[in-house]
Amino acid sequence: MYISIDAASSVPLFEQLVTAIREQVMGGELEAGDRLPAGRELAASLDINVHTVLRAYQVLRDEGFIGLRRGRGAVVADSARDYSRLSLDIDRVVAEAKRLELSPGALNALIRKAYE
Amino acid sequence: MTIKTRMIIVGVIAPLVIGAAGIIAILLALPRLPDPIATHWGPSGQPDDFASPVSSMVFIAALIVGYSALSFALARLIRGSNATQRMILAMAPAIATLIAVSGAGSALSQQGLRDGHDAPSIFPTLLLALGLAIVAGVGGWFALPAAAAVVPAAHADLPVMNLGAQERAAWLQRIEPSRAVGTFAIGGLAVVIVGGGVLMGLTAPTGIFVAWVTGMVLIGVVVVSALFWTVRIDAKGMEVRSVLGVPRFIIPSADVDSATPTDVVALRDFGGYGIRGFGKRVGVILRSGEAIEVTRKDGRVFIVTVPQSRQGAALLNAVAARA
Repeated sequence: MYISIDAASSVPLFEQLVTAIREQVMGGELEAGDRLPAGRELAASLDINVHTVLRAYQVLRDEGFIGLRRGRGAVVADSARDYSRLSLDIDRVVAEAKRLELSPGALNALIRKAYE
Repeated sequence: MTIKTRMIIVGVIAPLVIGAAGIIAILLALPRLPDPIATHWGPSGQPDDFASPVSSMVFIAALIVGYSALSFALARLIRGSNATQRMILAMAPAIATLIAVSGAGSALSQQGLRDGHDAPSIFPTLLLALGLAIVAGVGGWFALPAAAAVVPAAHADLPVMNLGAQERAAWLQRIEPSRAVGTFAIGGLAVVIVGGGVLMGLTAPTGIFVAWVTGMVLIGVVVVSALFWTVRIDAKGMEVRSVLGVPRFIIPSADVDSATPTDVVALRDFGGYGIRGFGKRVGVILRSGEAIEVTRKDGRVFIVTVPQSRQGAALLNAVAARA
């Protein structure tokens, strides 16, 4: 598993972690049953607070990507599905938005509205 | 002299020469030897088996040629050098000496006798043979190179990850043996523990049984710790740690000269699985295939078999450049 975060970015660290891990589950690099590193270990590696990692793991659990079990740590959930079609669709939507020079924020708002 | 030449000299030529010397010694003494001569001695030092001097020479020749053929095959097959291989090759002159000196010595000690049954004890000859064999083995060991000559990878080929100034990265992998090797190791261990346990439980006194179970548990722990590892690369460097915490190998990023993705064949390159190697070249080898080869600034090399080796090596090079 490869995770990189940018301390200079305005995106909160836990959100960067969530995005990185979510991408790997969706991209198939992490598969159902794969174990994520212990929060303490990942935090030490990235030189960030352990609570930042745990918060990211909690978000991922709420989203259904991972399960958190006492003793086993964070494990990629069985319910994690095949996201390859969704990824392709997102690529297409983003490409179209870029062609129309739509800002990320505006695209975000459109998707949110359609979802709700 | 190339490594191959040295391997051939120690593993093939030396034992053949030693064997030939033994055979020639018997040949020269042949007119003065009884026939049959004593060829085997019982625990009391009395001869208990006899054969013609010629069969003795054939026996010496067959054993030594056989072992030399094995070392020759090994020297041809294996590309580098490692401790296992060095050991097998250094054993060649030792075994040849043991066979030739005990064979020829026991024959020569029977010179002038009418009957092999009067042969003196084998023990002094055997002691001499053992002593000379150890000398030959140690000599062979030191005549062989300690480790393969490491060809440094061209720096232009090194993958280096592009990290932003404020970017922090971590690369983590769990590594374990291939299913076949893992099954073999753990299955074999289970068979020995359960089978031996039943046998011991039925036959041995309780004290020995308990000691045996304790020993087996310890062996189990060692086997498991040698089979399951995590590899971590981050700003601090590389850490390869057994699942039990020990043993572990740590290479600080400041010590890294270069990291290269490579391919290993476990048996050919390291003679087996687990923690392998000797001296300047050490590896955690759990399967054949992808591996990261890390050269430290002091020239020592560490190799670990791990998937996505290119990405890992690239990150290690990047943090090393920053350190």
